[in-house]
Amino acid sequence: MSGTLNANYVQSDVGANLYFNTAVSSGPVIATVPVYTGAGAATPLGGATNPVSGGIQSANNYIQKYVYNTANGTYTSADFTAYPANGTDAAGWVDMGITSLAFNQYSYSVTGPNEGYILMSAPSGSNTSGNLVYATDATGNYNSHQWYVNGFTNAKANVAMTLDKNSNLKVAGTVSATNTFGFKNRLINGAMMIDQRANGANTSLNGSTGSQIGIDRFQCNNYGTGLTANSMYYQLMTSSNTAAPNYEVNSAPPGFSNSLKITCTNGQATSGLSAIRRNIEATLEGYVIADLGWGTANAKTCTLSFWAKSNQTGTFAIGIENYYGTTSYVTTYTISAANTWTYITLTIPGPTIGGQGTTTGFPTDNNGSAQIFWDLGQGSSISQSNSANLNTWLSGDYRGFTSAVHIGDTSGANFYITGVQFEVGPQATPFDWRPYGMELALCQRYTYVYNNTGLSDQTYAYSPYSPASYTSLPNSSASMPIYFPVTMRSAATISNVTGGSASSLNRQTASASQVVFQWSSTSSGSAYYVGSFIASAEI
Amino acid sequence: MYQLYGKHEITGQDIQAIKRLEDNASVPFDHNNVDFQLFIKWLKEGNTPEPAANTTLDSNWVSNMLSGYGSINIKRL
Repeated sequence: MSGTLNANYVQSDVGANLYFNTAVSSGPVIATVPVYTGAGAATPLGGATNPVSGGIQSANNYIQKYVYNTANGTYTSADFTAYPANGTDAAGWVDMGITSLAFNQYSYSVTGPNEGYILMSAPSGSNTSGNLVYATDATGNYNSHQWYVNGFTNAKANVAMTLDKNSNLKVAGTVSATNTFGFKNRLINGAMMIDQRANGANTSLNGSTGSQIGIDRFQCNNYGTGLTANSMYYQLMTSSNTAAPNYEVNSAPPGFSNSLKITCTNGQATSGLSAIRRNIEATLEGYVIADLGWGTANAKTCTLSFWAKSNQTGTFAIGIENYYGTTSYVTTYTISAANTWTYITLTIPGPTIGGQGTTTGFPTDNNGSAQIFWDLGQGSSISQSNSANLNTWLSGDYRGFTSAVHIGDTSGANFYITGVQFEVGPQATPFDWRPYGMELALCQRYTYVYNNTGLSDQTYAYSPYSPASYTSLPNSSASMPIYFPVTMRSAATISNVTGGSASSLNRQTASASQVVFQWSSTSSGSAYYVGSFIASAEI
Repeated sequence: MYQLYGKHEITGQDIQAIKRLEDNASVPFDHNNVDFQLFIKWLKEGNTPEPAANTTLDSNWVSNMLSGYGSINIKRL
């Protein structure tokens, strides 16, 4: 036998029990070696660091070491307590316990009768004293709690935070989070609810030069030297309205009704077409991400999340870069099962290179600042070919990955996407559903489609438009303003003017807030109107 | 291709927009407008717009435009 048993004690047997007899001394039992109890005490946990005691037993049930307070007074509780070196009974401890049925002590009024608790009293003068930290490792579970701060004498009603039995979190003070609760999604129309231009029609990406416009805020590109015209199409799909012409079963994941679909009808291998642009592009205006500090040492980490589905499987690529293509980041994601919606989350470290200059960095004004490209088969001149260069910000214009799956390579290949969210922080959170009218207004900062369908009485312009003021001028002109519902990002390009008197239109000029149509008439008293037009301030 | 709108009938000032002939779109002279940026890029490539109907293009028109807008940021395609 090793260790010490205080010599003031003697053993005595009473029936089946062994007692330390206190007849010799009223002092405590002292053991200067670890004490193990239980049926398995002979084989304690191996490798435990500096144990002072343990209970070891094998049972197909819980085993326990307990403190049992048999009193039921107003001050009664049973507790386990731990102290640091500078702790005392007065302060400097953490205490886990349960109160009695009759408990009613003012000094600890944060706890009521028969309530469990963890209390912490900071040692006076400790540098970081005062926090009570709840934490679990990766295998931990979450449980309901009430949190109190600033003293154990708080009334029960002064609870600072409660996670209740229905999983509702109630906070008495102000909630502050890196990704705010409303408007956390920096992208617009991520649920693919708005398609002002095509209204759900299957639209060709014609393969000529210049960017193609897709559904609102998601530009679809398929152009460049060597590409066959009309080799890909885009369409807003719906899985909810079975009567809609763009209805398709399973064209949206649970929780969504729409998606953006890309279909390749004439596959062309990317190899040899170094300068082609085949992608879905979402551009973030500088004002929208001015707080991210992208391009500076304080760049914030962000998370891109979305749902994707394809009849192709494998590794797909995404490129993110500044608007002027001088700083870029390429990453990949996997679709393992064909024709199955997959939720993708990608954490993007903030770029600390590139600056915030208007031509070389991430601008913070009303111009484009950052762009996200879903690679559908980008040309090799704008694609990373070395996997070692993935997942890091680099100088240069890279929007894809040569070894990724390319929808544009294969006739009949398709790609669906919806629920796209780009938010601050390293964690993807549930999709930020905003009111439809608000989302539409956000879209109309970039594109506004006017249509007079449903109007019984047109708004007419009559010639002359101001004869009284300009009597020396011919009375053969007429003009008519139409005000945009939302101030646009820039002065707008006006196109697709149709209907009414469009054929005799002399010109149309626009600012960021309105367009004025102007006709040169051959006679006074002529009446003009327009049926539809598109105002574009896209980036 | 592009075409000038000419001068305003009343003020006599140049119309601050240009017609894009491929779709008859009106592109405003706003350096933040991407279509205008692409027009400036087209000018810098040595191209010249058509004058307004029944007019001739001022010989300094292109150089004046590039003097005023030649350094604007242009969307990268």
